[in-house]
Amino acid sequence: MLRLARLARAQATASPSTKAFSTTSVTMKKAAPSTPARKTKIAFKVLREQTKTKKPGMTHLEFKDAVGALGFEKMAADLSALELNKLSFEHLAALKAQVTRYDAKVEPKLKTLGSFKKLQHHELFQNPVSLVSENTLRLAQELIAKLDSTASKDNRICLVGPNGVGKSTLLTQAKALALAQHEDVVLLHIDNGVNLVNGSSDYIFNQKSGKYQQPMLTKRWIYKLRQVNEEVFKKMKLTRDISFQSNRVDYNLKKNVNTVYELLLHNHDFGKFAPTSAFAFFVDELVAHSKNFPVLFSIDNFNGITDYSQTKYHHPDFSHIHLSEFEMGDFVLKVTGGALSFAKGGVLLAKTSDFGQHRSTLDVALGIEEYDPYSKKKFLDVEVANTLKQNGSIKPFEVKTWTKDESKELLKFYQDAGVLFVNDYKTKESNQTAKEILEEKAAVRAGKLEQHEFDPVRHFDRIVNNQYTISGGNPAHLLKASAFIF
Amino acid sequence: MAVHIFGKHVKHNSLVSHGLKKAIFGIGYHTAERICAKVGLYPQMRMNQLSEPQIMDLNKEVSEMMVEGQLKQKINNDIQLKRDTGSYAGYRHANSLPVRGQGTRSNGQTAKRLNKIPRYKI
Repeated sequence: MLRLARLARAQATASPSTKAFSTTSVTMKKAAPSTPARKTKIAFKVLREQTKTKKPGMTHLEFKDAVGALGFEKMAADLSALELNKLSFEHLAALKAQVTRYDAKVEPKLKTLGSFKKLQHHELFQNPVSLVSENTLRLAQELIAKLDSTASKDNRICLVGPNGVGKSTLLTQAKALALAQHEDVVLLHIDNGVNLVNGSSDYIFNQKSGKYQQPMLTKRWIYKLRQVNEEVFKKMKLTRDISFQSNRVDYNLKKNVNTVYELLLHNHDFGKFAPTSAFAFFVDELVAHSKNFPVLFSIDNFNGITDYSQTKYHHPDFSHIHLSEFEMGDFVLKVTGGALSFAKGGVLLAKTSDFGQHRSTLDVALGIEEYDPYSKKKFLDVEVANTLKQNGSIKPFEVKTWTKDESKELLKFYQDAGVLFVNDYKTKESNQTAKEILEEKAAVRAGKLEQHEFDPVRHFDRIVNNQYTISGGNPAHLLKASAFIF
Repeated sequence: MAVHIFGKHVKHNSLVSHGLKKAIFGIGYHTAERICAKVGLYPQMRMNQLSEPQIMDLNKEVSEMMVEGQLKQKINNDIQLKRDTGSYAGYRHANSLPVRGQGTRSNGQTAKRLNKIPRYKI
């Protein structure tokens, strides 16, 4: 091989006709033109419409966020043909085990308050719907009916139950029922309690009140409340004079002349990054008016607040700020503990199972779990638990799973609305029991039944049995099992 | 877009604590959180939400700490001292070997990469 290579190289150098290939710039250089070339117009440039470049996907969000964000409810089937009943307090007993819609006036209010959550998958329908279950009737009796007659400290309930059993939905129904029962009810709703303590809002210390304020959080909350309770706040006359400056304009609101709505509309101190007493003034007004205007104070994911009472915020010396050191946190603790009571009203809380089960502050406060003196402060805040236990304690309300009839009703509604996922009809023998196969064959042989005849009622019953067994009457599991294809 | 803290570019949409940790030598996550608490920034605040006075406060806090060049110089000096006194640790540093008794049969590649005198170029 080496010899052959040498021979080939010798031949290459010896032959005069072959030239060595060179890559030097001299040889590769293009010859320069002798005269400069004229610019010639080849053709007219065709103007084309500029089109936007398409993005690769519909959204960058994950499935559970995407289905909520893409606005599928606009494309969903119209439910008006189904003629759903409105959720009303008066006819609640008649609506038992029925799928209901929310009143057209109430629905936007609930939306503003953040009552419809993404994992409830309301995008399946054009408008949110809910089923009146046994739980709804019980809650209406125990809380909503008493709104007009009882002080809020004596009317405190916390919804507890396993994941997906319908606590948040029940909370939403309660608000809708309260609005249906009383025209002048004030809704104070916090859609996610964790937002108070998870370090997502700015904070500033108010020397006067000795509390930390959260301007961003308070401003957003007040804005929501103003939108939802506009009609009620317009009826509430101020009980004290107040002066403030906003957008370089001086406002002097007079008692018995101006309203709470005007206060919330013009006063921008709630969101100002400076110490202010606006929130305290607003609370005082609510308390003063609660004789005529019942207040329903509701919090979803309440254990997000109590179980994380050592918040993610820090003092300048890096120690954690306790929940009670915040203006909003203190307000929540006082109302839920009964230290601050509305003359008429109620407190409705809902627990979530999203947080660690070893955090037991709320469970101890509700009496579900026994007090463990050896428990770490991180997992059990005795001060908070004792605060909640004051004034007769909060009543736990066990939200029960649905009965088979309730589940059937919901599935029937899903079928009518066209969202029920139906498997292949059980012409496949694998979907039938041995007994059913034999019976069907015998019936075909006897001429009673045509082969593979479709029996929709029987098939629907089979679906109900199947889904109810899978879900165990848990609405969230029922929804997953019946409307989602994996 | 970037926000400039202590002469460093910090990504505009990062959390303040995370940005400080990533950008400045000598500041870890815990120290960054301490600085934020001292200045009064909320935990989930992002770099692009900082106001001018807050940036100045951050700069002031960071400049009072031993970070970046000062810290690197101190580490270099400490290692050099070990070398000068003829200690075993100084010898291991100088020879790019693990200092704290680790084996070198199959590992020790980090020490090989990092241990040298001076450790940091300033």
